[in-house]
Amino acid sequence: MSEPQQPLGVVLVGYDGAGTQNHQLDMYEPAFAHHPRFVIRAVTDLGASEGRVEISRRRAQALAVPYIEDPLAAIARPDVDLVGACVGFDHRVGLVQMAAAEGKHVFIDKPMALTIQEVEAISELVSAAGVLCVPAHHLRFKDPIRRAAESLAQGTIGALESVHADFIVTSGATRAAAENPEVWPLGELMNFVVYPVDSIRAMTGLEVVRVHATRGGFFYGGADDEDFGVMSLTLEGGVIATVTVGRAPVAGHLDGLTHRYRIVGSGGDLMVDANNPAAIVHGGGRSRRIPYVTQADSVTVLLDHLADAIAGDGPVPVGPGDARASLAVTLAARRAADTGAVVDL
Amino acid sequence: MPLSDNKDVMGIALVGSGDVNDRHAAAVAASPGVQIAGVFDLDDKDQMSGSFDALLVDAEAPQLAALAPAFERMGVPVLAETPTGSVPSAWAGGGSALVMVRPHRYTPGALTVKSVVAGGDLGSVVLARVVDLGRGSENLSGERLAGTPAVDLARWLVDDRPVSVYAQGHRATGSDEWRYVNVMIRFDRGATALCEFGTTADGGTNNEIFLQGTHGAMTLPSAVGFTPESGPSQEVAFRRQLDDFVDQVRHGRVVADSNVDFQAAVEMAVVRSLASGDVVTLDIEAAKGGRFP
Repeated sequence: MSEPQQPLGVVLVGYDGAGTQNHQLDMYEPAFAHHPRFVIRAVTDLGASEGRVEISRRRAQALAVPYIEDPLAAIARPDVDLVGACVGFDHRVGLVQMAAAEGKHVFIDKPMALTIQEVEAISELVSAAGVLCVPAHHLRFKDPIRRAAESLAQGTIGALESVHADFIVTSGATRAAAENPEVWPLGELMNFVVYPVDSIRAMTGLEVVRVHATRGGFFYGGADDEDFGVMSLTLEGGVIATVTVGRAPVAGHLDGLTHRYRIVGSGGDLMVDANNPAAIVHGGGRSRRIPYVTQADSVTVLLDHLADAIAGDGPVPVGPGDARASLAVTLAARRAADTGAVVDL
Repeated sequence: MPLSDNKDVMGIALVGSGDVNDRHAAAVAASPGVQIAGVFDLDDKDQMSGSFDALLVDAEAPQLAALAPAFERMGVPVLAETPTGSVPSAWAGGGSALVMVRPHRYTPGALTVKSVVAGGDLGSVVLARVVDLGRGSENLSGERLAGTPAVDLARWLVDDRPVSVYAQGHRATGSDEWRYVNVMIRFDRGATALCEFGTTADGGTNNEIFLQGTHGAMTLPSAVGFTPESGPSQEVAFRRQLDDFVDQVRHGRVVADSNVDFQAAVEMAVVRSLASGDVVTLDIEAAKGGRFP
């Protein structure tokens, strides 16, 4: 009989994010708090505003763990194995540097960084320290996407020919903003491209090699607000992909999000609705779909893999290389959209 | 008494013989109040006489351009097979109204989508995805390579001037001909269209229109394509366009097709982008009188 594994200690660093976004509050803290293989030991901040610090303090209280002013002291605690990082982009390399210096693994909000240089700096830091840095590319672990990946690997639809993704969020940047949606201040391509591109990479195992794109501000009254983009991609082996991403505040959308993939192969098609499985409800003055998960939500599945990887029982689920690949597509899409050209990666 | 003087019965002449006018003849036969008042070959332009209310023309682009002066002299509206890849520039500057044959716009699915767009529920169309796959088993060559139905539907729904085209595709096994084409069109006011056409490798069908507008979105999954190749849907689509055209003629308000230049420019750009692998910026003026390569 094997020894039961001790849960991994987690320090949550930051309830921060651009604009009103707060993924720590909305997704990561609940997933860590309910996961049997992790235990939250403390909360701290790095470079956060007073308002965000106040959120962190309140959450620490709610979680019944200490709020520690000094992030280095929090990270260095002997009962901490992992840093759950949700800090501003200006502080991410510095935070990873602190964690790596203390030999602590990092789970970090997406997009992991805004520049290739920052991604590479993070990659070098964790590589040199021998710790893991896992960006929160959790949507690749949604049930429909995992099943599609398995199906493609089994050759169910023959040789892959094209993939077509729509990732269009119809609600606000946070739950609180649902009635008053705002565009993400760093642009919705930077916010969202990572999700469908990472999912396509996970399903197909192929990298993007060419990018053409358009982008614009259509929904929030400002052309400078990048709220929608369209990409025509070439993957390795000449596979064609098209991707639409954006935030389009459409009232009454059944799911609050269009998230789907149409995958075409030499022997058939695969239609993937990432919002499934879901219940369809007509009543209460509106129609809606209520998604449910058959096993675990995608963040929890990512944490399962992370725990396995830290324990040496499984591969690293996602790493800085994945963050780099998605970011490269995002930046290329912006360049292609602004120049009207095709950008080779 | 000329047929055209009898307002209860409209006289239509068929010019040119081919599949399109065969379908038009069937549509005319099924339409009350419309009669075929003349049938002419394409080289009969000096013999085209009589009193007609409209002409139905089945011709290739160069023939259509050559006939334009004769049609202008007759001064009646013309419903003509879409001259893929070329523009009958003789129509530029006025004369008899030219309307192109576009049965795909009259399929039930396309009419449904257009009615929603026209109703304003979606606001301005920001994205149009038009998937028209699996029709026939032939490779894409000639005018089919230009993807007329899918590209035209997207442009019709976006209702703006296209400014650039980027096309990718898959060639048929062991052939230089294309089997599948994916086109990205950028429009003047920022909208984008993604159009897919051709055949799937397994011969299955895959058709859809997805629109994202500034105020809403809609999806039209379709079990059938948007190109009415044959059967009842073909008859219905041709009949609907003919009825629409006849109604316009009867009430003296034919809506001339003002987007022929756009369509031709996009179609030529699709072919050029496929060949070069690059984005093609559209030159609408250069497209006038251009020829399909």
